[in-house]
Parts: sequence; structure tokens; C-alpha cells
Amino acid sequence: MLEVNSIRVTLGKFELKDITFSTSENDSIVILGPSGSGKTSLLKTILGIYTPDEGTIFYRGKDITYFPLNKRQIAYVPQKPTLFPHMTVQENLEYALTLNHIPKQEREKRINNILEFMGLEEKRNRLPKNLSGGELHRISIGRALILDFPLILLDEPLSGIDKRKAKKIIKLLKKAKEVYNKTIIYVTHDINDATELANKVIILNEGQIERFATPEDIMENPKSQFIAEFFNFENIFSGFIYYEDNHTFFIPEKTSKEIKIFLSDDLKLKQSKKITITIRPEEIILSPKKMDFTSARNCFKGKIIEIIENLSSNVKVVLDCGIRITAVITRTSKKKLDIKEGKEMCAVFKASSVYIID
Amino acid sequence: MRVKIKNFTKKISLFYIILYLLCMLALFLLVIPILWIVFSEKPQTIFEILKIEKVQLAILTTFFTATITSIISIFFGVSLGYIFARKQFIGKNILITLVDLPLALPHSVAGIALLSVFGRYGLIGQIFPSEYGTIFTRSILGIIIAQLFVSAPILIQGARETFDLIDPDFEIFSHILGASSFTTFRKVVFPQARKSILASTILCWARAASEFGAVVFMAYYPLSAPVIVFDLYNSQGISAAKPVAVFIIIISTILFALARVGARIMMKEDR
Repeated sequence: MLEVNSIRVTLGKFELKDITFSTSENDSIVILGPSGSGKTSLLKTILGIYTPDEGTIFYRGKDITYFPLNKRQIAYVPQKPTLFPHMTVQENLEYALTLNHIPKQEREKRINNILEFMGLEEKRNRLPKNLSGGELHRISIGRALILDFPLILLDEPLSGIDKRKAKKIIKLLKKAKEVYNKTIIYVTHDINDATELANKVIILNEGQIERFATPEDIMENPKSQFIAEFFNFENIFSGFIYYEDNHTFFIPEKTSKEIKIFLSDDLKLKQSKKITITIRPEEIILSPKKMDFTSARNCFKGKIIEIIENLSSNVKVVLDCGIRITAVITRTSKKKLDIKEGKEMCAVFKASSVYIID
Repeated sequence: MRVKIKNFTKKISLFYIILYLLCMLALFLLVIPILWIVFSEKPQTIFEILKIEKVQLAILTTFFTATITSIISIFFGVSLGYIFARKQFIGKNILITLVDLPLALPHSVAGIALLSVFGRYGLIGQIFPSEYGTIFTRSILGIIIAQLFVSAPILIQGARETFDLIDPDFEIFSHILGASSFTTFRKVVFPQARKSILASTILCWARAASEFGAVVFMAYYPLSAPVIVFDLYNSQGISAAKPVAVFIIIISTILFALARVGARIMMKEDR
């Protein structure tokens, strides 16, 4: 459907470098990245607002790298719903259809269908200024769906609206994607949106693609410290590989006491190689004393230095074991174990719960 | 217990006294001459003077030329205003200043400047053979050029400011939906600007119809309304010029009021 090949775009001091990816029909690609990583610039390049200095963009088999905007047939939902202020909802939708030579009868049918789908039939004669933020976003998405354009680019379309409404719109978008059979590329910095919508994720960092993979692959193995941090992975440590008695260990760099973390023995890494690891907080068990009869080989004693509680049913407990280890336990466990700051506990985890990310 | 509330509104401060005095002075200066001239003239005299063919023709000439000038100004104003608002080029600010300059020039200076270009021996005037030497200086065309020079900048400035306020994203979006530049301008940009452009057009028309200085230099003849007032005053004194002046005031007031009502109706439609 869309093939972006090695494009480079210079925008003042910022540069999109060597961007290569492709989409198949019906894909949901989410572009993730921190502010200023080039997400919107990448969308604008695909749309034709920016022209690449190098590389090509193929869409439905045609090279559209230098096509004018109005000939690309790519739908766009911008961050700020850009409904024409002098046109009613119906006129806004009709304008898009008229431009694409849809006959009058068909236009009316499509407008009725999309307004019904979006639950906005009663708002058809309203001007945009008389619609709420959520309604504007829905119309903006509706206008992208109503056309025959098979690809829709969405640029953080839910920014600035409350979470409950955003969730509703995401649901609507997922349904719309199935009903209208569209390929979507969705830009966001919200990981939850990404995991809910995407079958593939592009992670951008400083104008370059850091990773292009399925969300499951990324969650399984972030492969880089940047991604791990971006996805809010806890327990990220840098250090070195160390072999002793046929066992593989990881020695963290910055520790207040000597620590050796057991790694899976099947890892074939060079002695003293510098690596970054992460340990899933959900895979760490807290125990009041050392557990002798367990398959988990890593056990570190430390004082509880922080307890983070929020509205969820889990509690984060941070232990100072020479390195700061964060574990996630249930509220029931917290009560049973009498978890409180200053208390000594053991953090227990398997060697296989340690993931090498870099 | 009754609580005594201090009434701030009843106390007239020195600030308001000064403000009211300034307002009264301004109103005296702006309104009294017009009211005085209108109410001091007998309707009979106005009707008498209007029977003179020369006067009728001058008034018609003014309304006709001001209308043509306004129509041309819409095209000039919209084109230049849009380019100034949307495109970046070297010397843009200098060009904007030059285009606005006629608004700041003394009208006699504007007249001389126009004559130096369109006069018989001017830059463009000299191109034409001598039998057409007065094509710009004794013609309706001359009046229109003079009116354009002083009134089109109002529309250009108004249009530029209006287009500046319209988010360019609307245009980009219209292109993305499949529209050409012309369709985008016609369907997306202009409808959003039309109210302000209409308001500028009314001002432009008024400015063109009232222009005396530049017109008197460029095309004294055919006589236009402002020139005939001057002509009558010069040849027959204030008593001859006054009735024509009063008639122009009355007709201008009616037209202005009509234009404003029209603009208000348009605004209501948009709501």
C-alpha cells in the first residue's frame, strides 16, 4: 500500500533521516516517539506538505514523492480538528465528497451513513463553533472515512480531549477501520493508544526510526534503552557480563555494594561486555527472608525506600539492594507482608526474568 | 442588621469628567458641521440646484466612478492582500509600505504623482499620440485612476489583514481533500474573508467618492461631485456650493446606512 524508502527531509536544523518502512492493506501502524522526534514531520512528508531531499514514497504502486497534495488521495485527521468554520457539519462532509466527484445521491447516502455511525445525525446543520471538542474530533475522523481514500493518517487526533471521550473515539476508530476497510497510520505519544490500535509500531527518536515491530515484540524485548525507558520499563541497569563456575552473571555499574545477578546460562556473550538489562517488576517476588527452596536464583536483600500507590489494585515497592529494584505487588500482598518504608525484604526473581535490551 | 453597600457607580470620578468632556468636543467637531450644513439649508434650494444638468451629471459621475473603482479595488485588494498574507519574498515589507503610502500622502501630492505618470508628458501619457494626450487627464478614466490610487490601498490593507487572520491550515487541508488552489480560494478562503472585504469595500467606495485632491489634478473635467462643489464655490460663492454639498451628505448617509444594513444581514446569515 505505502512504501517509504530511505527518505531524508531537512526542516531547518531538524532532519528526518533514512526513514524506511512499508504498510500492507488494512494495517494499523502507530508512530510513537517523544515530542520533537519527527512524528508529525513524517506524516506531513507522506501527505506532501514537506518534500523529501532524498528517497521515494510509493503509494498504491505509484511514485508519489513529488505529487501535489491534492492528487495524493491520502486522508488526514490533524491534531486540531480543521473543520471549515463557515460550513455546517453537512457542508464540510459534502465539500470533501464534491471535490472527489461523488454524485449527489451517493453523497447524501454517505453523509447519512457516517453521521449515523458517528452518532451525530442531529448535529448535521451545526457550524463547527457550536460543536463540543469530542464532536469536532469525531466529525474530523468521519470526514476522513467518508472518502474513498484507502489510507488515513491521524496526527494525535485525541490530544486535548478527556480520557473517557478519547477511549470512546479509539473504539469508534477501531470499528470504523473494520467497517470501511482502511489502512491507518496513527501518530501519538500515548503508549496505551498504541497498544490498543496498532498491529505494528514505528518508534521514532531524533528523526530516525529506532524500531519497527509489532507491539508484542517491543513489549517482549524493547532491544534499546531508549525504547525501554519510553515504554516505562522499570529496573533498567547498565553493567558487564561476568562468567564464574559455568554461570553467567551481570555486574551492575553503579552499585553501593557488590551485586551479581544471575543471567540465563544459554547467553553467549563475551566476558566483560557492556550491556543494559531490564527486570520486569511483575516478575519480582518480595519475601521477608531468603527463599532456599525456589528455582529463582536471584535474591537480594534491601530496605524498602519507597511505596508508590495509585488508583490501581497494584502497589509499586522500591527496595535499595545496592541497586534500586522496583517490584509490583497486589494490595492484598502489601497488607499480608506488612510492607512499610524502612522494612527489610528480599527481592527474588529468576534468571530468565532478566532481559537484555542493549 | 442592614449592611451598607458603597455605591461605586454613582460617584463620578475626575477621569469620567475628562472623558465626557473629550467626547463632547470630538462630537462637536465631527457631527456639528454636518448637522449644521444640512439643517441650515432649505430643501427648496437643494431641489432647485439639482435641476441643473451640470450638477446632476457630476453627482452621477461620482457614483459611477466610485462604484467602478470599488469593483476594480476588490480584484486588486483581494489579489495583493492574499499574496502579501501568504507568500514570503524579499522586499515584501517595503512593497507593503509603498502600497499603503497613498493613504498617508497629501492628496495634492498624490495628484502630482499621478500626473507625472499619466499626464500628457508623463511616463505613460507620452506613449500615446498627441490626439489622445488627454485620455487620462480629461476623462472618466482619469477620475477612476485617481480614485483607485487613493482608495484601493484601503481594500488591499483590509484584505491582507483578513487573510492574515485565516489559518493557512484550512487551505492545506482543502488541498489534501483534493481541491485545486482556485477551488480552495473560492470555497474556503474567500467565504471566510468576505465580511471584512465587504466592510473594506464600503470604506473604499466612500473614499473614492469623496476624493477631491487627486481628482482635481488628474481630471478636473468631467466634473465630479467633490470638484463641482469646489467649482461652484470658486465661481459663485458658498451659497451656490452649499446645496450640492448638502445633497451629497444626504445621499452618502443613505448609501452608507444601506451598506451597513446589508453587512449586518450578511453577518446574521453567517450565524
